[in-house]
Amino acid sequence: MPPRTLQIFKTGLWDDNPVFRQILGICSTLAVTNRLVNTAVMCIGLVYTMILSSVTVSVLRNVTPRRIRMMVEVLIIAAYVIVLKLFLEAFLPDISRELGAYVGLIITNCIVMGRCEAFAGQNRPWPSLWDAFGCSVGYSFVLLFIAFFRELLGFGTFFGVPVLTGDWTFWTIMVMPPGAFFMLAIAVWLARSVAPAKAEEKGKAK
Amino acid sequence: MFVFMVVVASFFAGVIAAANLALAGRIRVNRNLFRQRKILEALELIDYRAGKGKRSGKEIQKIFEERVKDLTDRPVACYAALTPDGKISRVGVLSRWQGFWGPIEGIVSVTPEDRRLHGIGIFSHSETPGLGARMTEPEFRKQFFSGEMEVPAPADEGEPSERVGIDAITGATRTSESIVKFLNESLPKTVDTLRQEMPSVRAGKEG
Repeated sequence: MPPRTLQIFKTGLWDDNPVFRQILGICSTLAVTNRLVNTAVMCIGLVYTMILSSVTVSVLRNVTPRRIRMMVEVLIIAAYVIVLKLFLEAFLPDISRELGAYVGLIITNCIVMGRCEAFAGQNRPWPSLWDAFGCSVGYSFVLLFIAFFRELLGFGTFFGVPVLTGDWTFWTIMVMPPGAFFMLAIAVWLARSVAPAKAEEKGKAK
Repeated sequence: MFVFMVVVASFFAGVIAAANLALAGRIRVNRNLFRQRKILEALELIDYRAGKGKRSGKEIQKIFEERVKDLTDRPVACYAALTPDGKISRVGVLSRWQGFWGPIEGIVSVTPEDRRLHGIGIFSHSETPGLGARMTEPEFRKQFFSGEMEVPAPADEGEPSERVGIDAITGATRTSESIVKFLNESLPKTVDTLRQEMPSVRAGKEG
C-alpha cells in the first residue's frame, strides 16, 4: 500500500475518527450497540455503503454539476442502502427486524454524506475508497467496543454466548439507552486520553 | 443538470428494481415464516421464549400444518390450535390496533369459554426501537401467557366493566396504553362474538 493511501486510511481510522474525534454517527452508535451481532451487521452495512457511495461519488465527480451534487450524493447513498436492506430482509430476517429503521437510517448517517462531500467529491476513486474504508472501520471498532461492554454487562453474553454466569447480576441499565451514553462517553474519554488531538496538544504546550 | 439527474436516478432505480426482483420471493417466504412462528407462539404450540432452542423453518411449517386450523374466513378471523387428537384447544384472534406511531398487528390467543388470555404474538408495528418495540420481547409478553389474565366482559350500556391492567413498559407509556385500550375495549367484543361462534366452530371441526 503506498504511504499516502495508508495515511488516508489511518486518518479516518484514528486521527480523525468519526465517532470520538468528530462525534458523528452518534444516533446509530447509541441505538444499535446493545448486542454485538446487531452492531456487527450494522458496521458491515456501513462499511459497504460508505465504500460504494464514496467510490461512485468520486467516479462521477467531474460530471456532476456542482449545484445538484448533494442531491446526487443522497440518491447514490439511498440506492445502496435500499439494496442492503433488501439483502438483509432476504438473508438475515431476524437481524433485519431487530435493526428495524436503523438500516434505512444509514442514508442519513452524517459520516457517509460527510466523507462524500469532504473527500470523495474532490479525489480520485482509489484514495476515496481508502478514506471511506478507514472512516467506516474507525466507526465500527468504536461501536464494537461499546457493544462488547454493553452486551457483556447487560446480558452477560458475548455474541449471544453466555459468559458471565453464576452470581453475576445483569446491569440492565447497560442495555437501555442511558447505558449507551455512559459507554460512549467512556470510549471518547479513553480515546482522547490515549491520543489527544493535535490541537489539544498545542493548546497544552502554550 | 436535469438530464444528468434523470440519468443517475434511472440507473439507480434500475439497480434497486433488479435487487427487489431477485430477492422478493425469499423476502416473502421469510415474512410468511415469521408470521407462522408468531401464530404458533401465541397458541402456545412452541415456546415464545425461543432463544437457543429456536425451531427451524421446516419444523415451524410442519407444526403449523398439523396443529393449526385456518379459520380466517369466519366472521372473527382467527387460527385455532388443535390438540393431537384434533380438538380445538384455543383460538388465536387476528388483531389490529392503533399504537403510538402506527398500527400494531398481531395475534392474541384466548379460550373463549372462560375468557382467559393465553398468549400474544406481534406481526408488525412501528413503535420506537428500545422503547415501545420492547413489547415484542419475552419479558413483556410473558404476562399474557398461561391464562393468568382474563379478558373483561364487554361493558353494558353506560356501565363500565372491570378493566384489566398490565405491567407497562418504562418509557413507552403510549404504546402500553394502546395495549390496555385494546384489551379492554376491542378484544372483549371480539371474544363475545367468538363465544357465540364457538359451538358452530367446534361442530365444524368435529362433524
